[in-house]
Amino acid sequence: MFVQDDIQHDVQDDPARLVARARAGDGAAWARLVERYSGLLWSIARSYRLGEADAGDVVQTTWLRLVERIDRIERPDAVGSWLVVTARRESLRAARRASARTGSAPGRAGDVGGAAVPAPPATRPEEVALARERLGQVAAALEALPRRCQSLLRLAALAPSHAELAAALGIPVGSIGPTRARCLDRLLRRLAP
Amino acid sequence: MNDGGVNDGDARDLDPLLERVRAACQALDPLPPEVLAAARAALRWREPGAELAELSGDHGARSEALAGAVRGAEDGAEDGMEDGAGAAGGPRTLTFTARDVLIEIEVSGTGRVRDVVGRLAPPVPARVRVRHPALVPGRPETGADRAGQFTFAGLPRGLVSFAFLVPDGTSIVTSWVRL
Repeated sequence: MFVQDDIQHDVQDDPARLVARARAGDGAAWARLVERYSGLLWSIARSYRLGEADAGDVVQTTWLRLVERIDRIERPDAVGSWLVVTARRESLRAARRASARTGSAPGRAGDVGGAAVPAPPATRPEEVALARERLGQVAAALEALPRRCQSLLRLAALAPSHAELAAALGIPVGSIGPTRARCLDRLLRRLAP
Repeated sequence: MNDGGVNDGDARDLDPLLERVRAACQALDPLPPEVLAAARAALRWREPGAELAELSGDHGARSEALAGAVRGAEDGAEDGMEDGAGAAGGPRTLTFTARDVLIEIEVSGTGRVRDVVGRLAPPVPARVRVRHPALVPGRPETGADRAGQFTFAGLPRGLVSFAFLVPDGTSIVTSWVRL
């Protein structure tokens, strides 16, 4: 399935180069970085079971943290992993704030265990119903998987590289392949019983 | 690390099944356009040459209540998570550390607005600006008095960073923090 906003990966998209250009005030390079990683950062925040407002705050805070540190970031080539780790930390904080508001227990540190497809907001019922119909098979199969697999597949579908996916899940890069294969296999079995 | 994915195993190696997962998630839980727009606009808060004053302390009545939360190893020095003032009426105190100056900020108020009393130690007669994504850049602004003290009343809650212009022409910004 062709997704229109899929960004072609070429030398122009080299993260280290984009960071260097953004440092110099190049808004277009910054926009490329933002487009490349925001979907992943959003998914990380949602995997901590944050609502839309809190998840939006996490994404915004993560980018502001990069702006405040952009002149001194040590590994511009690893900016994706830096963003991911920052988003996890901010998500954890937001989850604690949310649990303080509601009095429920916050998720464990590094617990990427939220549903891949959270309950849709009530504002877009028709769109969601259509999307569900169109993608219903995959969505239903996803929702039937254990939470951890749901999150892993969602993040795997969005992470530009294994390094970022490993950072998002808090597992070694070497175990990404087998873990991802296991979850994909489970999904496949659900889709084709 | 990322040389176009040659040695880096592109996690999105266009497995058609993952592509469907991505489409499903994008359709059912899309990144809201306003979140993307805010992220694009974030670069305007860049202050080239400014020194970053890092958050080194965050204390308030409700921090105590939250101290029972598991502290992850990836959690930094801050342990205050609460919005605004402490629950038991005690104000929240934030400390930011720069190379030659300590910035202490006391936050009070509930609901949607926050009052801030700040202090520079050692005292410096600096110009102080509030940076807040919901406010016009550069406003509000005030001056620190001879004791290094400054106040802002009625700030909207949310993410904020304070910027200081010191008489010798250097500038300091605090790390972003949620009031």
